[in-house]
Amino acid sequence: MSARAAWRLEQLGFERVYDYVGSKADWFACGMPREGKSAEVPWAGDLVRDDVSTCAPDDRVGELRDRVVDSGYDFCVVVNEHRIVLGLLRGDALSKDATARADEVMELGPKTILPSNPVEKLLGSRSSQGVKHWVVATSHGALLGVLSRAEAERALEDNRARAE
Amino acid sequence: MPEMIELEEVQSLVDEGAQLLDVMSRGEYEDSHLPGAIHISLKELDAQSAAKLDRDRPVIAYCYDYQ
Repeated sequence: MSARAAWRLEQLGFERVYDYVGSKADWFACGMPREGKSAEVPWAGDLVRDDVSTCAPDDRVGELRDRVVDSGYDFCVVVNEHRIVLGLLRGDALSKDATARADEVMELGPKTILPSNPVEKLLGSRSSQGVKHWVVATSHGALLGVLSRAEAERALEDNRARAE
Repeated sequence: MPEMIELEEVQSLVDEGAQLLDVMSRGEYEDSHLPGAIHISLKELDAQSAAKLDRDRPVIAYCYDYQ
């Protein structure tokens, strides 16, 4: 639709016209700001925290343990140089062989959510039952941070109270 | 020919003064749109409605997704 609109504008005499191919879905899925009614309800990206511990695939597990403990989370996100989420390190993977590389022991393909996920929908979904933290990444796979269930529930309650 | 662009170029152009044009329906625009976007639905995009746009500045059209 944006392509047709761009062509239409050219037909109307506009000289510098661009078509944002990814459009609104891409913008929001990259955690960019929004206006409109949807801005009145919390989305995952509004509550994301970037204080989770991250590491490179070739980092040694033994060097990460303290960093993970200090972060307050019980896991570490393995990212590449573009912050693309590659895996998660947690539990046994962090406590076993200290000389292992992160990518040798990481959990592959962890589930991530988009920042444009409405919190209410997220909390109501069956697949999120029992989840303490969600890893939030853009549609391009880049890590934005982590959303905690406690924070999501608090934000939803606050939002409902404001609406009453 | 309109140039197809992605997020990074959108940001750069907006920083330079480009206008964002949302061509979805009024309801979809009211629900969510990019900051500062002007609304003219594709069905209503004619010379009269396009007068809302500044011809001296670039225009970036967008809709919902790749459709």
